Amino acid sequence: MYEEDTIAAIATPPGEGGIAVVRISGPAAEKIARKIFNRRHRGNGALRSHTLYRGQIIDPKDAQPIDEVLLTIMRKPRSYTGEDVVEVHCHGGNFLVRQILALILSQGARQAKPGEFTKRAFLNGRIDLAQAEAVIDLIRARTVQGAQLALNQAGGGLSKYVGQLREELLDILVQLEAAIDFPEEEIELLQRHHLIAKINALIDNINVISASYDWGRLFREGAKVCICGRPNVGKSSLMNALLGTDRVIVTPIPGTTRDVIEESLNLDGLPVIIWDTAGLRDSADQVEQIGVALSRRYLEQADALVVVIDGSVELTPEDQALLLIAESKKVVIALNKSDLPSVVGLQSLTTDRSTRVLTTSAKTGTGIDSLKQTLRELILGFVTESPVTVTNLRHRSELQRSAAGLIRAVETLNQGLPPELAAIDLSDAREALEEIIGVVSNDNILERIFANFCIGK
Amino acid sequence: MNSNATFDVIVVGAGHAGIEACLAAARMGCTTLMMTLNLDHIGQMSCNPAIGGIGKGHLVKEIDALGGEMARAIDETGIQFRILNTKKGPAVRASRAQADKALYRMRMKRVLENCQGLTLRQGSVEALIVEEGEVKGVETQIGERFYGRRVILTTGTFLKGLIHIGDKNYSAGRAGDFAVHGLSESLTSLGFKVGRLKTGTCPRLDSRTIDFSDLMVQDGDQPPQPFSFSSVGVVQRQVPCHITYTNPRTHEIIRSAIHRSPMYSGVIKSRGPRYCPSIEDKIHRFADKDRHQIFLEPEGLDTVEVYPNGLSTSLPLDVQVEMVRSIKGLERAEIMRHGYAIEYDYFEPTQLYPSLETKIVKGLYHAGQINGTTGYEEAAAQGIMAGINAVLSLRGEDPLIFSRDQAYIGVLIDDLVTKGTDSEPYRMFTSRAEYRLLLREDNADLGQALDELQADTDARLAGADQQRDELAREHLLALQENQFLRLRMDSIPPCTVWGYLTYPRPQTNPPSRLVLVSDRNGTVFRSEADCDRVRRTDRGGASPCVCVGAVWGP
Repeated sequence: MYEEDTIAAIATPPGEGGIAVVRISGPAAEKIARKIFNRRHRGNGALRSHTLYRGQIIDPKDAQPIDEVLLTIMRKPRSYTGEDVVEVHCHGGNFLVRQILALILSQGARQAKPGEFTKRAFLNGRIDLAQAEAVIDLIRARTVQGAQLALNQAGGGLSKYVGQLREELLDILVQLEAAIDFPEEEIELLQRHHLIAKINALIDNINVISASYDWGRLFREGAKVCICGRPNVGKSSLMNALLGTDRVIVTPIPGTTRDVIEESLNLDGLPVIIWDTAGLRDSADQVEQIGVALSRRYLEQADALVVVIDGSVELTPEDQALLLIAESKKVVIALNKSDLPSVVGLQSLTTDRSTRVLTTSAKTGTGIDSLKQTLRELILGFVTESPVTVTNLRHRSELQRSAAGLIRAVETLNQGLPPELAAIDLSDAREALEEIIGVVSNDNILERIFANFCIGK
Repeated sequence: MNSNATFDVIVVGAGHAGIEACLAAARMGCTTLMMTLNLDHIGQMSCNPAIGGIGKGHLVKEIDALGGEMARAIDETGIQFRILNTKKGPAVRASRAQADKALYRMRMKRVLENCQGLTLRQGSVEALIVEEGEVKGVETQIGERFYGRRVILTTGTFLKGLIHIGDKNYSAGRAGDFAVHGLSESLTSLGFKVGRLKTGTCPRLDSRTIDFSDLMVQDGDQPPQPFSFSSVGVVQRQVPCHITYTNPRTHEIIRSAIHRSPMYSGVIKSRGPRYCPSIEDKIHRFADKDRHQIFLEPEGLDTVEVYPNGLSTSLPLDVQVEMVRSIKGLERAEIMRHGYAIEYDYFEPTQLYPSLETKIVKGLYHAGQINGTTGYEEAAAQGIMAGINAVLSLRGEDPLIFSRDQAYIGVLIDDLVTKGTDSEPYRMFTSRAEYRLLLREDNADLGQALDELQADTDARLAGADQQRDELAREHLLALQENQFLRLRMDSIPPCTVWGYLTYPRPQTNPPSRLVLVSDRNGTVFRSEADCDRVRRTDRGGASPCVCVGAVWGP
C-alpha cells in the first residue's frame, strides 16, 4: 500500500457554477473532515462510508459557518485513490470554494499536484498505467465514440488485452528459461520451430492492435482538417456551412480571412478540428502574407485537406499549384458555388482516380452532407478489425518495440543461437508490453504522464 | 570455559553460511567465535552430496573470488565434476560437482581449526544478549555467555526444527541433531516477524544392495574442471553416478499411500519448494507422467551410502521401502536412513538491510536458511557477505553491496531484502538475473578482485604476475566508483558480440577498449543500457523474474 501525506484539491473546473467539489485523499482525510464539518442537528458524529451527509462547513477556530454542503466519505480501499477519500460538495462560487480548500489545507492537507489523485490510484494498484492515461482521455473526449474508447481503456480493455499478450509471451519465455535453468531435468519443451510459430502468432496479434492506432488516435486527438484554396472561392462560407453557424466573417472581398480560424466538428462521432485558412496567393499586403504562410503550415499538419475550387470560373494557375501541393495528402476537392453555372467539369479534375471530387454550394447547402461523409471516410481510411483500439502514441511505440523484439527473437532462433540470447530479445518485448500497463514502473515515464493531468481529476 | 571472553564477531552455526562468515571475519583480522551444536558436524551436507549447478555454480565462483572457502573445498573433495549447459552460451554454463561428504566436512573443520583468530565452541545458543537495540552477545542453554560486538546467525533448519515421516514427527535440527527452541523465541520477543518453511530429503540407500548392472552410467567430465580460480586441479578419484527411473508401479504405491503423507494429511501446513518437490508431490501434480528420473549419487568414496536424488519423501517408512524396491536396480535395496520432511522457523529477510544486518537489532546479521533460502551455495554466499560486512561495520566503513549487474550475490541479496521469500524457500536461478549475459562463471573473479579487503590471507594475487596485479587494482578502483560493468567490458580485447559471448576466459592483457561490431544487433549493448537504467531508478523497481518453478515438471 502506497500511502503518505493527505492531499486536497478543487475537483471541478474554475469559474462559477451551481456546485463545486473539493476532494481530499489520504490517511488524515476523515480527521480533517470531522474538524470542519458539522452535521445538521447531530454535531460531528460518526460518518458511514459511501453515504451523503448534509451539514455545514465551519471554521474550527471560531465555529463560524462557511457554507451549506453535502459531504461524503469513501473509506479505503473502496475509493478512487484507494485511500480514504472525502468529497465536499459545496456551492460553486469562486471565492467560496477557495476558502473551503484553504480551510482544509490549514488542517494539515497539502495542495495536490496535477494528476496526483490518479497517480495515487495507480500506485495503490487501483488502476494500471494504461487505465490512468485513459482517465484524462475520458475527461477530454470530444465525441461519444471518443469517450467510449477512453472509457473502455479506463475500464481496463486495453490493459486486459495487453495483459493476455504478455501472458502468451511469458509462456514462450518460460520455455527458454526452463531449458536454461533445468538442463538436467526431463522436461518436455517445445521444439524450436514451435516456439517460432508461437512468436510469429504473437507478432501478428501485436501488429493488428498496433495498426488500430492509425485511426484510433483520431478519436482521441481529433482529426485535423484544413480548408484551403485560393482567395474568394468560398472557404469561409463552406466552413460556416459545415459548422451550421455563421462562425466566420464572409465578404465578397478576396483575402478577408487572414488568421487561421479553428473550430470543432463532430463527424458522426469522429472529432474533427477544422481550420479555415487565408486564401493562398502572392499578395503585397504584409498581413495577408503572414496569413498565407500560416495557411501553408496548417496545411502541412492536417490529416486531410478540403481543397475548395470555384466551379463557376476557369481553373487558375493558383488552383493548379494548390492541387499539386495537395497530392501528397488525403484530399477532398470541393467544387464550390454549384448554385452558379458550372464551368469546371468534374472530369477535368479527376486526374488521379482516388481523388474525391464533390460539387458543393456553401450558399444553398447542397453537397455539404456528402462532403461530411466523404471526409469521414477519407480520414478514417480502412478501419481495421482489432480486438482493442490503440489511441495513444506511447502505447503504439511500445507495441512496435515489442514486435521488434519478437522479430529479433525469431531471427536469433532461426540462426540457431543459444536460448539465452533469444531470451534477451523476448525480455525486451515483454518489457515493452509491461511499459504499457505499468507492471514495471519507470518514474520518468510516470512523472510525464501524470504531469498531463489537470488538478483534482 | 572462559565465559567472559569478548569477541569482535560471533557466528552461530557451522553450516555452509557459518563457515564462510567466520572465515571471512577471522581472515579480515577480527577475533571470531564460532558456536556450533556439534563440532563433528561442521560443514555437513544435510541433503544432496553436491555443490554447484545452474546459477549456484556462479555463486560458488563469486564466493571464491571473494576469498571464500567453498570452491577450494569442493575441488579438494569432489569425486565427480561436470559442466552443465555446454551446448548453450558461456553465460549459462555452470559447474557442478559431487562431494565426498565426510572429506568435505573434515576438510572444512581442518581449515577452521587452523584459521588464526578463530575460536570454535560447542554449545546450543538459546538467547541473544541485546542492550538498547544493539547486540552484545549470546547465551547458551547451560547459561554460558559469550560477548561479541557483532553476531551473525546462520541457524539453517535448526530453529524449532520438526521432522515428519508419515504421521510421526519429532523435534530435530536435522536427522541426528537436536533442534534449538529458545533462540527463535528470543528473536520473536525482540520484534522479528517469524515464518515457517518446509523442506525435505531423500532416503539413503546401501550401494551393496543396488544392482547397477543395467542402469545408465553418468560419468564426470574428462578432464574434470575445478571450481576455484586458484585450484591446481582435482585430486580425488573420480566416480560415476547412475540413472534409474520410477515406473507406474512406483506411482501406484505412492498414490495409494498419499493420505499417509504429512503434506497431504494436513499435518504440515507450510509450503515446500516447487523446484525441489517430493516424489509424492511430483506424482500428484504431474499425474500424466509415467516415470521420473532418479540419480543415484555416491555420498563418498569410503562409504556405501547412496543418495537417490529425486526421491525426496516424507511418506511412512514402510511405503518408502516398498516404493524404493519398485524401482529398477533397487529391487533389493536397503534403506540406511529414511527420507523425511522438516519444518523450521525463518525470519522474513525484508527485515534486513542489504548488508544483511537486521533492521531491528544493531550489529546482528542473518545469513542462510534463516532468511528463507535453500541450498548450500545460497547460504555460503550470504555467509561470506555477512562476515565481510560485520567486519566493515566494526571498522566504520561502508558495507560491501553488489548490484544486480555485478554479481549473482547482488541478485540474491537484493531479491531477499526487497521482495522477501514469499512463503517458498528461495533458490538461485539464472533467470533471476536480468543481466545474465554479463554474469558468467568465467569472469566472476575478474569482476570481484576484492583482495584489499583481506578476506583471503592466502594473498592469491601475490603469486600472480604484475600485469594481473594492476588489473586487480583497477577493478578495485572501479568497484569504488561503481564503474564495474564498463571496466568489465573494457578489459577484453576488441571482438564481435558473439566473440565476446563465447570468450573463454577473461584476458590478463592490459585493458583495451571493447569494440562491438556484429550483426548480432548489439545484444551486449542492450544489456548495458538496461544496467544504466536500473541504476538510475529505484533498486526495488527492477523487473520481477520469470518464475520457472511454476512450469517445471519433475
